[in-house]
Amino acid sequence: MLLKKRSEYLEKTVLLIECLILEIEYSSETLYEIIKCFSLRNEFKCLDYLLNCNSLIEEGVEYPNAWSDSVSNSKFFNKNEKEKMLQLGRILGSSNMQTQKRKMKIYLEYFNNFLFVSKKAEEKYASVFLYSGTLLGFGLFIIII
Amino acid sequence: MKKIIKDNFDSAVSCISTDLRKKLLLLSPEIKNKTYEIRLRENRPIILFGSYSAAFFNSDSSISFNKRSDSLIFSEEELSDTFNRLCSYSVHTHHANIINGFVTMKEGHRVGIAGTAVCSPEGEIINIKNISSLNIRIARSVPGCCEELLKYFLKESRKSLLIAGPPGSGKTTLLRDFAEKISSGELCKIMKTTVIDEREEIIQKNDFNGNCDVLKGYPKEYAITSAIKTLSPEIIICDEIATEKEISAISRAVNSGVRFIATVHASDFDELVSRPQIERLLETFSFDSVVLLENALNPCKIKQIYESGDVLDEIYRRRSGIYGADICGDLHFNAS
Repeated sequence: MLLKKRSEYLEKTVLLIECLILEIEYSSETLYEIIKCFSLRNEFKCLDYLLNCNSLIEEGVEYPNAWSDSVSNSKFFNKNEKEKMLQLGRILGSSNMQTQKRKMKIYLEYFNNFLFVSKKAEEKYASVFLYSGTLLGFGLFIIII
Repeated sequence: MKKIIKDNFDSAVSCISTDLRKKLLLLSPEIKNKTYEIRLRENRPIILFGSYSAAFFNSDSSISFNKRSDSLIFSEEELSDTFNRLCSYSVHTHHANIINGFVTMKEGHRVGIAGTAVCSPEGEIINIKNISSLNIRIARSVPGCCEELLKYFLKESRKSLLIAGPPGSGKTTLLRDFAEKISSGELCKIMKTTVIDEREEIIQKNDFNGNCDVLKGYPKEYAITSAIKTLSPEIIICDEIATEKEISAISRAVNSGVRFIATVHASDFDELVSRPQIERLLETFSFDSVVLLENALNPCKIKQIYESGDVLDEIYRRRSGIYGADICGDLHFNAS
């Protein structure tokens, strides 16, 4: 269950990075506006770090601190994912649109990879649980007979 | 002329890094009102410019005309922090302006940027790196500053006005007031007004009661053409006419029956008659009056109003080598 949630979390993060790239390219809005807008969207409601970041910004915390605090406190990222997310936060808004887009695509690849690994783990453990369950059931059946 | 200069100092320093901002906010209201520029250079003393001339900013939140041992130095970290805050941590949003050497704050204050240009093989500037100084020009709002000029504009049925003046003389402030008065019908019948605000410093959302169409961030020549095609303005207001393309666009617009209020840089009459762009602009016969403003010490104050034909005559006279011709007899209006 937890693995499934983690995969969903990473899936939404990949979607968020894709949307960030598109939004920066299309509207050229400031990060404050983009974060505010995305945190209100239903598909990103499960991304705790995005919602926290928006709340902190609304409280007057500067973007770099708001991003790093909220990513550091996120529930489902592991250490490596947090590190990459913090690096992405430092890239956001730091340069012109094309440069940001190129750099963000690298991080998109990283997170696609994390998602792939997470899904593989989910499948692996799902089959392990399935086999264990089947064996246990079969064992119990033999004992009962 | 009413002169109520609203205090915009506090909003202008909002982009400066926290510790320094707190000290600047402690300046007396009188100094704040008189200040029109804050110069922040990397590892150099902070200098304020105002109607009191130039002054150093000291650690006890005072200013002094001579450098003191406690005059504050603007550090590298403060510069980096200020630049990031200025861009709201979103360089992509301001990149087009940054390569042109400025960022406009949302309150309308223009911040000039100096650094090292990064050029493409074709010679185009693609970025500014190693930013070394920031110059915050505090936008002023002087309600009613255009009233006298507006009365002249309407009474004399002027076609178009060209406002010239040195930096800080209040050209943009006058345009802002014109836009408000003309579009809201406060002092005249409502005119369909379009403001072309390429640098996004004429109109600020929070401090503008006009009722006009505003084209922000558009290149002027494109905006003029677009406005005529789609917004059917009676009058177009735009800042700092400089290029041939802009002059051509104005000429075409005037031929379509649109009136203009525009500005150009010119420190004095000599500069006015010696700048080729102004000559080219006047030769289009788009403007019938040229208003010369005083200087930064007397913002929005009219020094003289000339008939554009007289200015052109003087340009031709000087070119043909007849200097010192007295055109005072031809002056239409003397504000003093």
